[in-house]
Amino acid sequence: MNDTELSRRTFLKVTGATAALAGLPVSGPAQAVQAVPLAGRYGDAGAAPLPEQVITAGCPFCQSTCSMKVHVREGRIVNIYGNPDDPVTEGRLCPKGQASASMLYNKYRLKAPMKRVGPRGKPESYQEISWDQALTEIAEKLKAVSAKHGPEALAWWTGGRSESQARAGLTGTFQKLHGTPHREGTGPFCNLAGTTASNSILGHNNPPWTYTRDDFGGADWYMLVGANMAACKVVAFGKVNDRRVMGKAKIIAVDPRMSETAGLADLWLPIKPSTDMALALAMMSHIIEKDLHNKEFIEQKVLGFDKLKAFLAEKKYTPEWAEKVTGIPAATIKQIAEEYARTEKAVIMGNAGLSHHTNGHITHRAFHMLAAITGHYGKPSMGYGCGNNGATPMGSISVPDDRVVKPKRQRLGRSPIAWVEAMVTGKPYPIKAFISTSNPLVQWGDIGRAETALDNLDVSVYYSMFPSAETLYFDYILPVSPWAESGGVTPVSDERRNIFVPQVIKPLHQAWPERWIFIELGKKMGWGDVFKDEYKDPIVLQRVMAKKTGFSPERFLAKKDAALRGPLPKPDSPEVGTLYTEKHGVPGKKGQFPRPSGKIEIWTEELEKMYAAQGISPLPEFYVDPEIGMKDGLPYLEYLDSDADVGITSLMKGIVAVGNMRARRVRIKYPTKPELAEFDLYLTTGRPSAAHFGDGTHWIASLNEQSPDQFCMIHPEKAAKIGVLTGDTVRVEGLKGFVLAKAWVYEGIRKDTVFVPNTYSHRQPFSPWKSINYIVDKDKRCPVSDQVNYKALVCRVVKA
Amino acid sequence: MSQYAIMVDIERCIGCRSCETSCKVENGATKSRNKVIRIDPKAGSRLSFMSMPCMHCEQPACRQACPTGAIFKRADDGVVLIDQSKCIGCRFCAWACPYGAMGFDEERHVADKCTYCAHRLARGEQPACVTKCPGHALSFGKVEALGAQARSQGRGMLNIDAGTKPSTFFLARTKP
Repeated sequence: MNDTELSRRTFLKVTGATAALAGLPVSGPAQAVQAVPLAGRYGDAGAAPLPEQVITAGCPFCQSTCSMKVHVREGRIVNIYGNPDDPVTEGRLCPKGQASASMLYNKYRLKAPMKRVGPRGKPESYQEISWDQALTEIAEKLKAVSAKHGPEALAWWTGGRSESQARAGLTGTFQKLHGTPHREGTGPFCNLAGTTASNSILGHNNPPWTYTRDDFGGADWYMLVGANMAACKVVAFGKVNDRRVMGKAKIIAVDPRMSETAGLADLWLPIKPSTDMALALAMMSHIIEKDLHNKEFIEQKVLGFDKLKAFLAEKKYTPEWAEKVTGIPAATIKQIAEEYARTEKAVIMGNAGLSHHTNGHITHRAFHMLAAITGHYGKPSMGYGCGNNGATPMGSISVPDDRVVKPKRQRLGRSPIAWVEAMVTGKPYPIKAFISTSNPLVQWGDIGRAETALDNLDVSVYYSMFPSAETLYFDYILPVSPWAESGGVTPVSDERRNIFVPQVIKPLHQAWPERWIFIELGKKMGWGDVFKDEYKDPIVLQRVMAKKTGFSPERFLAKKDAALRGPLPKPDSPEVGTLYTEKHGVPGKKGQFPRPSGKIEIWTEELEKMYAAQGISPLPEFYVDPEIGMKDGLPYLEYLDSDADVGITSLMKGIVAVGNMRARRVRIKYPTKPELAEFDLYLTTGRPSAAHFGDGTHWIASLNEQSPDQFCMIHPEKAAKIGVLTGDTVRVEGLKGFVLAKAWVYEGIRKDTVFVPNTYSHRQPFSPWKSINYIVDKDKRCPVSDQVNYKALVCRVVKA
Repeated sequence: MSQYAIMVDIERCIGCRSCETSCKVENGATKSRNKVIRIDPKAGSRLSFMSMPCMHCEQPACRQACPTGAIFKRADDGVVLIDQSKCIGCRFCAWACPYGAMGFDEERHVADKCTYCAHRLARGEQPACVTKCPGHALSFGKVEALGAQARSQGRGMLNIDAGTKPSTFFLARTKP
């Protein structure tokens, strides 16, 4: 519908239809129309009562890490507002932050520790036990596994978005005392490809900008590639779009479907899944051909430009070539390349749409190169960066040197999913104990294999909030008190902010904060001298952890938004805005760009050696994900090592390697003929809407209803061919099996592509759909970041 | 009387549905009193969203339809409210409203709708949805001032009047 022609009749039809669908907005109290103050407790019908106390805290969900005003009355959270003193959010909040009280006061929560006493997969196999019994038994079993199989046989997936002191700090302390190399956060399922790319070329993981109006929010030109910011970086995008509407900025969205972001962009480029690297390569080729690269900047601050220039020419990565590969017209590529090169305040941002591929690392590198050769680093409102890469060191609890146990055997890959084969096959050596939070049985690819892995373990422990799929498979289930029940430090934002959260209410049910659980488990392991009881107080723990850094509780609490932006390497380090400037570079590191050379490293001999060991190059040689390459006859990776092999040791120190780590060798294959003709569609995946953030938000009714069903977005022409209408259930069949979804016939998607959102799971109370990740191939991963390809598969869709 | 209004800018709405959640949290309701409508692209148009609170009409169809006189328009600021003690739950108002803005509280069997957060207005605050909107798409104020602001920026308005003279108004998208 053309909006300027939106007639009254159409409008009424739309609103009427929606109202009928939604059963009309209902409920609410008589009191709401009266003058305040109102008595009525929250939860009863009635306006939220006035608070007795307003506490500044940080949102527990996404990588915007918004500062919030939490209203408390009679010991209960009754309302949540944005914090007007937060320069990032300017007092705004998305649905998730507002619903974080509903996450706590939630009838589905795990309420007591449980132990599996029967076969997996059945709720009746679990019985409640005491915390003491649970932690005593877990500690005994962990010790037994270490004694029999070595400390390397323990794997711990710590997740990514829980309270930081415990998740990032205490699990690290546990690891040092224990000696396993297998502890990992959620990076390999999130945007580690961006982290490793930035490390490899700029010498540091963080994006250059902050989400304030004088930096990210103040550019003239934006290209968002595989970044549906409107759903994933809600408040930050609101400001960027505000700037666009004021006529001060242009937005280009690169996405196979018209996402919420693309619907507002000046230009939507529906790129073929898996080919984003080609866009960066062709833009660079055109910029160099037109002599629009920034020679002065390159001369002073970039290494390897000549190699890159020769490489692009040799490979003939021209706009005309890219048009065939990506589906974006060569003329458009040339136009945006010229705009970008000529606009100083120009931002390109990538996100999971680039990271969730076998070419994630090298694609991010290519976009960094594009920003580098056009001189887009060193000032605010410019540069290339990937979302979800804001982590900076916050300090830790020191462990005496003679107590640190160093792993003797190689870490089996960077991604936890690389550990699954060691669990199933015992090769190259067995992993026999697994501690996990988050949702391995929703989030990991090839979920069936992960379920099998749990059968072969001596002990498995799951700690979380809701009775998700995992709670039917793990041996011990521990209920966690998050966020305002726990207090502590939020996870970090894209742009390096953490917020201190006071303990606002007491833990509910028998749940405990992760901090408490890890301290008690540490004591049971015999490490009570390190895991001290006094650290159960988040302020005491923060003071100890941040002894050498600038993240003291006093500094946090002195700020009106309770937020601190790292890196703060010393107690008195000032907070710094834009990174990679001549003045600041990166606090605590040498040079404007902290690579060994102090420059942006497109190519060096050292990099060449690191990459060549695995069969690739630091120069951006184009390849796509295997299923896409097979179907279309485009280059793709062949894997020379499996997860059950010993493999080689990664040379990528400071880029991706964590100590002595196994890396996979690959070869880029140039196929001679297309295959997989029986699959006529590409499948891509992503966030269902701004309401969701993993499995957890599906347990909150008010959020779930904003995106209630797993859907399959499909173009009308394709839908007509298979006789499918919106709302019909369809089977999405891939190489690894099938899942069901509700068809959503949608004009704003490529005719050759369907989109199915992630985060759904068959155990969720309102939306029990089998996760799309069941049909993801866990073995097809990026050779550097170890990230799984979630976002470019082949499939066919039939009516169920 | 000086009429209050919400100005909804469709060009600024990013479809996050923060307004729905803020309404639920603020008003203790299980269902939101406003509703975001998603308008999928058709024939080359772009994806759009519009947040739909009550229109607080000059001539409210709901008030006209109400057999008990439970619905009234406040004289000083034009906010349309329901005296739920007088409501008999007949739902004539819901049938009459051309904008689908009238809801129903099943539990208490009374009509229910957006009040522009009248309890917050009484404290000198703005409606909850307006204060939290991440897209800066919702503005609240006197209808004349908001209209003048939109016109000064050269923004077009959607004509949605179904004969009731709505106060809530919508800024159209700037490009198809």
